[in-house]
Order: sequence, then C-alpha cells, then structure tokens
Amino acid sequence: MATGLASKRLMKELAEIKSKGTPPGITLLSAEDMQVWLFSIQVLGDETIYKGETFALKMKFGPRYPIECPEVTFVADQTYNAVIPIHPHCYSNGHICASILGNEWSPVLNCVAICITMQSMLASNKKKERPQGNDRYVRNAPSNPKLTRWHYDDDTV
Amino acid sequence: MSSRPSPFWLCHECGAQMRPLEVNGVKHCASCNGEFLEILDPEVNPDPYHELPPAPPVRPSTSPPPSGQSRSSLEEEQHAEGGGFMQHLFGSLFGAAASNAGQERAGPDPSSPGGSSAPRTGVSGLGQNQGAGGRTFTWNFPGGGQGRVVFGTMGGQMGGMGQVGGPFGPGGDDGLDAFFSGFGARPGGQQNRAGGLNDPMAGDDLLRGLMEIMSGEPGVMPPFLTGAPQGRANPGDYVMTQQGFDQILEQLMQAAGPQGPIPASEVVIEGLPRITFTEESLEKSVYKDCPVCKEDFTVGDEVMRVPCAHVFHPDCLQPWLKINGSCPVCRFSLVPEDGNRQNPQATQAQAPSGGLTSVTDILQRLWGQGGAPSNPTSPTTEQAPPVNLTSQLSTSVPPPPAPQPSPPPAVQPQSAADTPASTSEGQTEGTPTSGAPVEVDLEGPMLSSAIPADYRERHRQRELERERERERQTQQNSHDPYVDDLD
Repeated sequence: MATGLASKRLMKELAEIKSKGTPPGITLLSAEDMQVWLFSIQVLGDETIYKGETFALKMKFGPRYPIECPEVTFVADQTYNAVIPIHPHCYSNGHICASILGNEWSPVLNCVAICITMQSMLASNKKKERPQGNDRYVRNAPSNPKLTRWHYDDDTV
Repeated sequence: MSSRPSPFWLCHECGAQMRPLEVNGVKHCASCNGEFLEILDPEVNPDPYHELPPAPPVRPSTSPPPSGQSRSSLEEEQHAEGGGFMQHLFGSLFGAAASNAGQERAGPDPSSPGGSSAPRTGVSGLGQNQGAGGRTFTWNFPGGGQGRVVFGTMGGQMGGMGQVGGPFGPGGDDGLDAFFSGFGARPGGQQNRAGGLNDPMAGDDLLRGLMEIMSGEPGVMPPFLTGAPQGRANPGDYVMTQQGFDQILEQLMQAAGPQGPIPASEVVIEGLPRITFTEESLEKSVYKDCPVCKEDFTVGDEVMRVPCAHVFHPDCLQPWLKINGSCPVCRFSLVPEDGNRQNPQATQAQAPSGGLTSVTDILQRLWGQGGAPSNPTSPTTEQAPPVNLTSQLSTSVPPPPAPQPSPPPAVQPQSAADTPASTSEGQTEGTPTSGAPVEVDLEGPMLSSAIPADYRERHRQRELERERERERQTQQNSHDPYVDDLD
C-alpha cells in the first residue's frame, strides 16, 4: 500500500532527524503530520550573499512519496522571519526550478537531501536576481509547482 | 538586436496572407495549415518578374500627428474616431500596423504577433469607404476573392470597445481581464495606453482577444470579417479561457518533443530477477536496506535486483520503474536507448531494435548472453568495460547505436542529485557510485551476469555523447552562462 509506504518512510526520516540531527544550517521547524513539513535553511559562512538570511522550505508529501517527489516551495514566514530567497532559480512565489524536484527526482532522495541541495544551490549563487520571466510565470503559475513543466538549463548555480 | 521585419506569406492553398507557423522547420499556413506558401516580401521574392499579390489589409493612415505628439495622445485621437481600437487590433494582428504613420515613426510595432513590424508593401486593390457609422476596407485576395473589414458599425458597443484598455492595457498585468470586463462597462473611461504597446504580453493577449471576438461573443460579434478569411473563423478553433490556452500550450510542448522520464516496460520489470535473502546471502550483501523505504532487509525478504546490481523491495521498486525506468540509486537506465520514446508501451510488444521479438530476446538483451561470468562492477560508466566483455561485444553483440544529438535522460554522475543521494545512504551501505567493484554474491548461478556488455557499452556511449554535446554547447554559448545540458 503506497500510502503506508509514505508514512512509514516519513516516520523513519523523522526518527533519523531526531536522533542524528540535521546538517548545519538546516533545521526542522515543524512536522506536525505526515503531510506538510517545514524546514529552515541558512547558508553558513562569510562567503555567501545570503549571510544572515533565513529561508523556510515547505514540503508537501503526497500519498505516493517517495516514489513521487514532494511539493517543495520556499515560503515567506513571519514567525521564523523567513523570506523567499532572491535567486535565479527561485520565483517570487516560492517555486523552485531544480531538476531533482522534477524529472530527476529519485526515491532514494529524502527531505534532508532536498534541503542540502537547496542550501548548496543558494550557497553557489553570486548574484541576487530573480529568474527571467519571473513576473510572467508568477502571474500564471499553478499553485502546485509540480504542475509546471520546468526546463532545466543551468547547472552552475 | 534590430529585428528584421518578418514578411508576410501567401498560402496558395487557402489564399490567406499570414505569418506562417513553423513546425519542425517546415512553414505551415497559419490559417489552413497548408505547406504551399510563398513569401510576399518584395526583397526576398524569388521571382521578381511575377507580380506580387495584393498586400494584406492596411489601415488607413490617419493624418500624421504633429511631431512630438505622444503615442497615447495619438491613440486617443483614434478613439475619438470610434473603432480606432478595432483598427488597431486588426492592423496589429495582420502586421499592417506599420502603415500607421505615427507608429512607423515610433519604430517597429512590438505588439504584432511576429514581434516585429510588417514591411510596407505596395498596396493594390485596397479600397476605403468611410460611411456614417464606420469604415469599410476591402481588398482583393489573390485567388480573386475579396476581403472586407468593417469598422465601427456596432454603435454604442463599438464605441465602448474603443475606450477600454484591452490587450493594450497598462502594464499588461491582466490586460485580457480588463479587456473583457471592460466591454461596455466603462464606456466613458479614458485609459492611459502609453507603454501598453511595449508590453511583451500584448501579442498573446491580443491574439486571444481577437479570437474571442471572432468566436462570436453574443451581442458583440460585429460584422467583422467578410470575405475569404471568414470561413476560417470557426468558434471551435479557438480557446476562450486561460485554462484552454494553457492546455494548448501544453499540447504544443508535448508535440514538440517528449521529455521527462520514460517508464520501463512491463516485460523488463517482470524480467528483473527476484532473490530471497537467506541468512548467508544477507550477510554477504553490501546492501543492507532498501534505498526506497529505507527499511533494513531481513532474512526471508524478497528483493528485486536491477542490472546495475542494486536491490530493492519489489513493492518499492516497481511503482518507481513504472514512472521512471532507471535505477533509483544510480539512474542506470532500464529503457533501451533505441526504444520508442514517443510510446514506451511499444517496447512491450515490439522489438526494441534489430528484429528481436520475443520476451526472451528482450530479456537476453537486458541480461546478457546467458550468464557470462562477468565481474559485476559498479555502474560507473567512466570505466572501460572489462576486456572479456569487449571481445564479447565485438563478436556477438550488435554495435551500439549511432550517437544521437539528444540522448534521453540517463546517469548523470555530476548532477546535484548524486551528492545527497550518496550522503543519505552512506551510513549503512557501500556507496554504489564510488567506482570500486561492488561485491554482489547474493545471486544464484543463473543470475551471475551483472551488466550485459552491450548494455554497458551503450551506456558508455550515451555518456560520451552527452559529454560531447555539453562541450559543444559550452563552446557555442561560451558567453552565455545558461548552458543547456539537461534536456
């Protein structure tokens, strides 16, 4: 039963986070159920252009997780003083253009792996800018970023 | 970059003059989809002795505004004439906007669908008749038909249309919505249109707006088009909503080429060997847990093994392979390179290539020639295949397919996904992508071949090809940081 797999797998991830902790700069903010989890991401070090900023990453799991990728978006959250990062792959509505959240998802990936990828995506960025066509995309974007047909064209950031 | 005005084309099949749509490099008539087209630009006309057919309808030139008059005031002047909006709409759509003196001075009209202004071609057979209620323009179609556009005959409604911002509305944020909600709703309202023409959205919205009008909005449909093109204005041919429009875009993108993961065929999935862990084999196995559900394997667990030697619970692996025919751990592809991408189901019934038809052939293809005693190595493709496999390859296996310009998604060792993948499982199991030979001792004699030679070779070819492609694109776009490498 796929649903069983999803919650079993999430329980396992949760237990692992609780016992082993999360990598530096990544914190599990909330995991009240097996549907939506919220992580915070900070880019550590002095080199980064995001120094001192905190971002909140929302993951929404479907019943077919981990066969299917969770819905992952950055959210602005006042409680955690989190903003949506200004990054050439992050749209101002929080949608992220990252191949592992689309057709390069693999069920061996997990929440922490997604966080690490997002963290490194931010860490390697040198210039704060929105993606090309941000306004246009945001105007027409579906609420679920997985419904967007992404074109992954940049592996430098 | 100065954009060269894109010329109009004449379709010899339906007589329409239009900017053609390009499908796979072949130009099609935008009206009837015919392919018998002729370019109408005098400069590019291949036969200068042949008289060019009449030009597309041209808006009557309003008296040239005093120099320095802003565009918005020009437009208001057009409003005052009533139907100015429709003229604009129609003129822009057919690319004849350039005939407007004021606009010509202002440079190419970015709102025309082609993104550039139409050339000013010689006008022949154009008649203009300004009546009390509006204007009628007629022109001749090459086939002998006559086109006629009537502007401003809808009385109040038309006047109302002339007032709304519509597709040219400010900012274009919701030009379309404003356009339609504005139908007659703001009859007296003056909107500042300045800048609207430069909005990149205007082209799309304009087109949609026109479609909607042509589709017969009740009470609004003017005697808008008569003559040849009218027969093409079939309501069923147009979309009314954003959703419909998105749907069409989606279809077009799908038609443009399949992308995304390709599922493995049932035959391949069914053919994957299943192993039941015994105490001994579990102890010997490098893989202690299922990479998908992360549960530890226990004695008695039945697992499925993919050709790259990774093992999974069948219930964990199968749903994935039905979405994406690659190993979840290393992305080793279970989809034959030459499998029909368009229709992955086809591999179930048809031969992937080379006239192999039966299930056993396919399986043999996948698993090699009946248990050659090959050393199961890691799936890392940078390694050259072992010598015995190479010789086997040269004798009994067809050569790998010729490199193709766009290889399907396969293993991408450099992709960002690999880092987290290996971190996430590095604690409990050997890292399968490390390049070290992986000891797999858990299979019976009949499963002793890990990766068949041709499979491995094809995999390697794919990688090489991908690498070459990347290099080529890097060279091409060395100035451009956005380098395609994932499609």
